[in-house]
Amino acid sequence: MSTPLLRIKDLKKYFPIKVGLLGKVVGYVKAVDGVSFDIDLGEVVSIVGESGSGKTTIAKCILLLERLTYGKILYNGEDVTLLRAEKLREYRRSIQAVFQNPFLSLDPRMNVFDILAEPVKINMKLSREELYEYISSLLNMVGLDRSFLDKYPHELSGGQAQRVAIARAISLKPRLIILDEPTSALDVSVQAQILNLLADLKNELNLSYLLITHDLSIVKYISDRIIVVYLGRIMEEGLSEEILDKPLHPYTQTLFSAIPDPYTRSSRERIILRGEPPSPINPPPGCRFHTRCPYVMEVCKRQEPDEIRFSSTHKVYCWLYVEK
Amino acid sequence: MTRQKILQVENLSIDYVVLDGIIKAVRNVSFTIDEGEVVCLVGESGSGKTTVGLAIAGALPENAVIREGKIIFRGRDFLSNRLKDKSTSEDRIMIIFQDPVATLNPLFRVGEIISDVIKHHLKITNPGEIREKALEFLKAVELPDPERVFNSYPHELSGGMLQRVVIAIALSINPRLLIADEPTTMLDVTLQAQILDLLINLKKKLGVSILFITHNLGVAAEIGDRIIVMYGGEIFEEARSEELLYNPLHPYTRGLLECIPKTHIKYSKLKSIPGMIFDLMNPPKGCTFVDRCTEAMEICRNVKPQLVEFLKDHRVACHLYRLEER
Amino acid sequence: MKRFKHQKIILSLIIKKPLSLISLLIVLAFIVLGVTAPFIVPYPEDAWGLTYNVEKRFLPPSVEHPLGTDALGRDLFSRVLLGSSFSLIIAVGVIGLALLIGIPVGVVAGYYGGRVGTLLMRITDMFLAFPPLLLAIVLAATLGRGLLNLIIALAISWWPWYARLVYVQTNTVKNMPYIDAAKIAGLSNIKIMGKHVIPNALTPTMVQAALDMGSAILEAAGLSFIGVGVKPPTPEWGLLVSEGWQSINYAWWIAFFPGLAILTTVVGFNLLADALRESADPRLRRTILMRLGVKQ
Repeated sequence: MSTPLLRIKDLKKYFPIKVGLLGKVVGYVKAVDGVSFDIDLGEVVSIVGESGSGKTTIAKCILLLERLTYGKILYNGEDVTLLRAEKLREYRRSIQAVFQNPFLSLDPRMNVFDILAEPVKINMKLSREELYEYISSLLNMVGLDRSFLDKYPHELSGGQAQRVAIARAISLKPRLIILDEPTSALDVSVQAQILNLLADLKNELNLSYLLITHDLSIVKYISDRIIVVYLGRIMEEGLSEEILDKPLHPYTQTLFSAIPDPYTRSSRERIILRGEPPSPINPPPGCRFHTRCPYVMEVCKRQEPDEIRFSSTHKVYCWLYVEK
Repeated sequence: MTRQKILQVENLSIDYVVLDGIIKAVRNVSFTIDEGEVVCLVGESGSGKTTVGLAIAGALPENAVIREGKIIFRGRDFLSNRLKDKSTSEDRIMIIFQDPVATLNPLFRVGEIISDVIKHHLKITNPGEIREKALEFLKAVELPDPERVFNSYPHELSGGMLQRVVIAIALSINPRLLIADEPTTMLDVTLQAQILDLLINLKKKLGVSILFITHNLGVAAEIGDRIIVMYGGEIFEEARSEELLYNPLHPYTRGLLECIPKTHIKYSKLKSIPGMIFDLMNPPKGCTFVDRCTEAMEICRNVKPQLVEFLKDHRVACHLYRLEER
Repeated sequence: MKRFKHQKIILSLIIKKPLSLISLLIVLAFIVLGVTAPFIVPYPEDAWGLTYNVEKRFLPPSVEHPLGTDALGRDLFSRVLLGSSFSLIIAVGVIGLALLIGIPVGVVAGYYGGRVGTLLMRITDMFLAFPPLLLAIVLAATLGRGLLNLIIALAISWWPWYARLVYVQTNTVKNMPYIDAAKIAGLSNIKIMGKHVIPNALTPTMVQAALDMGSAILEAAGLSFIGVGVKPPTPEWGLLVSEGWQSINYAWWIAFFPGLAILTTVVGFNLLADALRESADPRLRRTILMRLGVKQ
């Protein structure tokens, strides 16, 4: 068995809640509370969850923008929190990101050339001409041309700006790109353009993606594997076909039925969840979903379910399937 | 089906005056809403859908100019009325926005805000009676613990609950028309489903008409009786929901429908509409969609297609559908 | 391109309102006169206070001396005119020095946060606890009279306001996704602050600073008036007013014209400030409650 590109082991991230002048810690927001998964080279893994599920925090931990509270992130088998100097720089180069709103992730005071040149200048030694050529080639790869070089973000449309952000992400020849809601700020007709571009680039450059989204409807167009998270914990995990054909966890089923799809309006049985997601400060005991679950049982309130395997790849954490 | 028309919009054109020139945000838009009907205005950014909603609610920003048109609400053209008397004409129209946080003053408790509106509009002065009314409205929007919500500050409530509070406030003036401008866009899918469900229930229970503005055709299909598709400030197509979904005529509508990720069909690739929207300051002479259209003809470039009733209750503005060829 | 657009917005908003246009003209005139005064004053020696002429004491305004003469027979017009240069130097000096201290403090405190941030901001708060004018008077009195000391005293009472403003802005900017993007690109913290945080956090502070010039002139004049500012015979407006004060009963013009100069300049700056503030928030707040006339 080969080592995965990235292995997340029992990742936890607690944010302390401080009060008063001295910053006394009165509790923790348990944003991520024990999450493990692998990403292989060339694989697209989607993490699906709603706000408060901890999906963005997982991404920030992998990007080293947040320190882990507990757990390990292994890159090619090496613990990234122990990497130093050249190895650390190599890791940072290898993991890039595209964020939700391109107008917020591009510095409004820089033109496209400067935005794209910034990471390149730091990480590669290129002459002025080489830099210009390289940046032009990046723009070509994302479907833009040289005329965009001296434009500022506010002169671009949403789709064009997101293309620039993607060009920046591929500029350092990374192995893995984290896509944090890359299309949810865009118009529907443009959304597909960006998803298709990402799919093409993945094949061309042999990239891995970690797609973070709340929108289950887009994940199937791009991902190999889907992980469903709720309140900092994994609820269900499996290959895309497995999750899409046979969602097992009640939460996954709810997410599916909540997608507004015009053509299944009448045929679909809609499950509408009651209530709001509980606070991650004091997550409910037992299964975290039990407060909103339509099939809740006594045992769910007391004890957290163990992993139930339906295949070598399909895992679910739910008491409904324990007896089988 | 002889239901009363509650709202008629006729030939509405609205410009925004900005430094670089004039943005023709809405051009020649006409439609109607029946009593107790949910009409969805669907469009992407720059389609003018929000501007139409703001105009009907009387909440246009300062730099907007209504160039021409009529907005007839319950038989009265209130565009001409508004010039004379700003306060009276819009009483029974209410608008709710995308971001409930920006709508509620963070310094006041939910109870104070809603009581104030009730006092103002229902002319009730007895505090006990006001409180009762307020709790009744909070209950009507299916908030789990109205008493607690009544005594909470906006920041103590989640996004989904706040949007319910805003709807409760909107209902408290007993509106006949509710304009909902992307009210679920900032919510998670499970909460979005809840709010859509709530609005459908309210419509059935109170008979209020709803103008629902959204960029998401899927959401429109969930809630709308009728769907109006807008592009670049103009109406491209209008039909009853099922008709529009299963028999879309305009190439833009067809494109939009193909762009929506489907849950029930497997595609390897998602479709998209090539290109981007035209410059709103200089709209093309002919059809504004011509540069992105796969079926563009010579005539499309020079002649603007008129919105015609090509099929029964199905209007479309496209040269592919001309009445004489029917 | 972007900056150009920004100027266009400000200009158009100013031109729309006549009062704003007048204020803009006053401020422009003040700056032009401040720069050129040393070269155009009709009586340079009188202006700098190098001579005196007993025969010409207390002459009322005339063609020869449009604003009259002072107690030492010097041409008041020349002195008031040159005073604009000193006011300009003081305004630019005070604000410039205050920014020089305030910006680094605010950016470092805002960007790093944590203990460093808390410490820096507590120090800032200590300064903010004193009434600024009182602090300036104490400092100016301790340092002694003189142009440089006056500027230092005022700048020390002034910088904490900028530190606060920059701190708040930095806090906003540092949470923007483009800062995360810069970190992922591998930029060092120093580079991120220089290239991304400062340029984006500074605009409101710079606008505020430009608008504070009127207040700086007023406070400097105040300090000079009570005798802790510049040394005579420097033709600083506050000092001129104080010199004319004693003879206000029989030679009103000596105190009046420098006072008028202070008034005009300060009002000009403040009106301009109001116009800019208005233009900064033209958005109609989209709230249903406002439309309903409910308390907001």
